[in-house]
Order: sequence, then structure tokens, then C-alpha cells
Amino acid sequence: MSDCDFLDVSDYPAPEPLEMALEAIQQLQAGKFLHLHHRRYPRLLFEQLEKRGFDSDTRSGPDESCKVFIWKSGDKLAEAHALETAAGYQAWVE
Amino acid sequence: MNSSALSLEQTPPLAVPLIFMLTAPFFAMLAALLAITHPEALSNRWEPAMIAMTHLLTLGFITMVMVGALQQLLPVLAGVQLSNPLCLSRVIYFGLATGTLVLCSGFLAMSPVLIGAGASLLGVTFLWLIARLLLAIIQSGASILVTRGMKLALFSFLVTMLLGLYLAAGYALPQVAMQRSLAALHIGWGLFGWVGLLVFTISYQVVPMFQVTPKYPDLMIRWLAVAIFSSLVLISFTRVTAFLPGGTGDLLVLAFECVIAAGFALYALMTIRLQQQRRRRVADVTMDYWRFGLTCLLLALMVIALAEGAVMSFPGIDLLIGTLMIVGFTMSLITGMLYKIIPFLVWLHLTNVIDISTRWQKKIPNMKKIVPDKHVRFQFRLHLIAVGLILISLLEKQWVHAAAITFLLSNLYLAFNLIRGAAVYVRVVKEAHHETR
Repeated sequence: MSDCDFLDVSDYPAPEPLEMALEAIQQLQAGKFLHLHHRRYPRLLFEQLEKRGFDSDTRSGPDESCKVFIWKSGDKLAEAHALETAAGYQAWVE
Repeated sequence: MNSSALSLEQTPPLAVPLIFMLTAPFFAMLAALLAITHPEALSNRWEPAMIAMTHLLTLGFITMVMVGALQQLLPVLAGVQLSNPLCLSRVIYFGLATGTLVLCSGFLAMSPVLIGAGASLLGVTFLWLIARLLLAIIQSGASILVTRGMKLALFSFLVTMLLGLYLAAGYALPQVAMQRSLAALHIGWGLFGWVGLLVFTISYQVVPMFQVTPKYPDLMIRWLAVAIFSSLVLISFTRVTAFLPGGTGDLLVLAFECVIAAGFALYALMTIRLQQQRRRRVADVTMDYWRFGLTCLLLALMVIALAEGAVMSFPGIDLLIGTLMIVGFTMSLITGMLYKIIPFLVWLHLTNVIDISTRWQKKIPNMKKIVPDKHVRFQFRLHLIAVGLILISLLEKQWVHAAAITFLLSNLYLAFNLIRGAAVYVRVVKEAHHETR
């Protein structure tokens, strides 16, 4: 069973990517993280993640895309999987 | 930790940008009323009523919307924090609204006292606004790709304002000679500097964001604003100092005017090209606003080129260019932006305000329901007809009243659409709080 839910929101206009990401994190099961792929840096997402009790790690993807790895705070297994996957990408620089 | 992440709690409440955006259409309606009561003004740009109408549109509509948008978009798009945003907004709104009304009344009545008072109030207001915004931008860690164009637009605003103050002093103070030759510079800095550069800078963010297009080229983002700003500086310097002998000075000014025209043409063509490459080709009436606005810009540039080359000349050609640039290009693009920005801000603030533990988070309306498409489309058609009639009325004076009435109705409908969008926020918050009590 995969430890990751993948969500590509890069084809959607604002604020649909944010709406879709928030809905997806509510469906996350224990031990799983969300791998969010977007064409832009989702500036407004992070405050919402914090309010809902989620942590994240942001990385650069191919073609200037942005990858955000999201897990529920306190879910150590999901955090470990997320950080392991994130390590395969370069740190995000604006 | 994302240093460029944003906390909505640090941005002004929704009412702050909304009051600016909801007020703007009423200034456009005032301009329409002036055209109805002073139809003769549309034959000469120096007519007092025409000057009043122009400033009702450029200050009351365009600047009002831009200033309102900047106060919310700077934090949301660029992570630039404004200190004491509520106080800033109240002062700016009062100064801009009152100053514009007093100034335009002064032009209508040809009253030196009112012109002086209006110009002074606007001058103080704008100086404070520009200083606060520049300081906030400089202190932020925002990328140069975002801030360079913004800073140049604000400097252009400053020059426009200083030239405007000097021109107003010519009306208001007997000791100051009226220098109509500076009016061309005032208009150039205002339209191509302040409005143009700000439209570019905002477009670089909102076009990819809301229209799902590829990004604008980095080279364009970095250097287009610099090229246009530098050209405006060199044109102004050449004209004001007249340090070059007649023909050479004119040639130099023409060269830099060509740079500006080419820059604006590049912006229009690049935006159209990006929109053709957007990922999801869903029908969107705000895209129609943009296409129409950019077409008017290209038409205006053609007319300017033909006029400069002495290929085209007729009385009122400057009014034609002004109509295409102000009403056709700028107001169309701004209206198209408003129909995206207001639903977005309403949605965003609802997401922030409504307690996430309640079921009301699921009932936050979709953006398309905040200002329904059918109303936007109807208002767009009114806008098209209004612009067409205004252009016709520049040649055939019997169409002035029809043009003005259509323009009035178009802006009344715009106000109605924006107010109903804002009302969604009030209704949903009220219902959510009622349910959770």
C-alpha cells in the first residue's frame, strides 16, 4: 500500500488548488502524506495547514514547479516518509 | 518554516479593499452624468468639464481601484506587510475620494480655491501613500521580479502627482504661470508610467494565477518596466530642459516614445499569446474583457503612431487616443481583474473567518457563485456598447447622450455585481455565526 497521496493542482485557477489541497488533507489516513504538485508557490496554503494541524516541506520540482509534502502533525511515520521523498528534490528558493 | 508564507490575519480586513473597489463605479457614473449635462465637453480636451471627467475616471475609478487592490494584493501576492493597514486605508480613502470630488468640482466651476484645495488634499494623501508603500516594499523580502515594477510604478505615480500639483497651481495661484506644455508629460507619466507599469506588474501575477497561463518571460518582467520608466525620464528631461537644439530634441523624444509604444505593444501581444496557451480553455467572460482591453491598447498605439507620422490627423484625435487608453484599455482590464479579485478575496476571507471546526467550511460558496457569470456577461456587453458609442460620439455629437447613458448603466451594473459579491460574504458569515451559537 502506498504511503503517499499524490495531487496535481497545476491545471487549475486560483483558488481551486487551495480548495482541492484542503479537501485532500482531510482525507489523509494515518501514516500517509500528501504530495502536492503545483505550477506556483502556494503562498496562502501554509497558514491554512497550520490552523488545521498539518506540517509541510516545500521543494522545487521540474520546470519551476513547486512540490509541497504535507502530513498531519504528530504522525511520525507520515513525517518520515514525507521527508524521505522530499529529500529527492531541491529546496524551494523564491 | 516559509518566510514568504502569508498570514491572512496580518492583512487588512476585507472591508478595506472592498470600499475602494465598490466606490470606483460611482465615480465613473459621475463622469457619465457630466457628459450628459455638458455634452459640448467631448469636443475639446481643454474644456473644464472634460478635464473634470478625465480626472473622475483616472483618479476616481482607476486610481481608486488600484490603490484598493494594492493594499490587499501586496500582502497576498508578494508577502509585503503593511503596518497599521486599517489606519492607512481610512486616511487614503478619505483623501482620495474627497480630494477627487473637490478637484473636479473646482474644474467645473473654474474655482481656484476648490482646485487648490482638491489638489493639496490629493497631494498630501498620495505622498503619504507612496511613502508607506515604498517603505513596505523595500523592507519586505519579496523577490525583485515582483517589486521592481511596483517601485517604478509608484515613482511614476509620484512624478504624475508632482506635475499635477504644478498644473493645478497654475489654475489656483496667480503667481504660478499655467504651463499647458507640462500637461502632456503629466498624462504620459500617469497613463504609461503609473497605470501602465502597475497593470504590467499586477498582470505578471494575476494572469498566470487566474487564467492558468504560462509565466511571463523573466527578461520581460525584469526589464520592460525599466525601459519604459527610463524613456519617460529621458523624454521629460529633454522637454523640460530643452538643452538640445530643436530638431535633435524632437528626434530624441520620438525615439523614446517609440520605445514606450513598443514596450506596451510587447505587453499586449505577449499577454494575448500566453492566454492562447492557457491550460484549461473554459469559457470565461473576464478573458473577453482582457482581449477587448488589449485590442483597444493596440488600436491606441496604432493611432498614436499614425498621428506622430502625420499620416492621420483630425480634430479630436487626442480624445480618441484618450478614450481608447482610459476607457477601452485600462477600464476594461481593471473591470476584468475586479471580477476575479473580488470573488477571490471574498472566498479567501470566508475561509479564514469561518471556524474550521464547523460544517460551514463546506458551505463556503464556489467563486463562480459569488458573482454569477450571466451578470458579468451582461455587464460586459453594456461596456462594449458604451465604448463603441463613446468612440462614435467623438465624431458624431448627436450620439453623446446615448453614449453617456450607456456608460452610466454599464457602471451601475458593475456596482450592482460587485455589491452582490460583497453581500455574499456578509450573508455567509451571518448564517455561520447564527448556526454555531
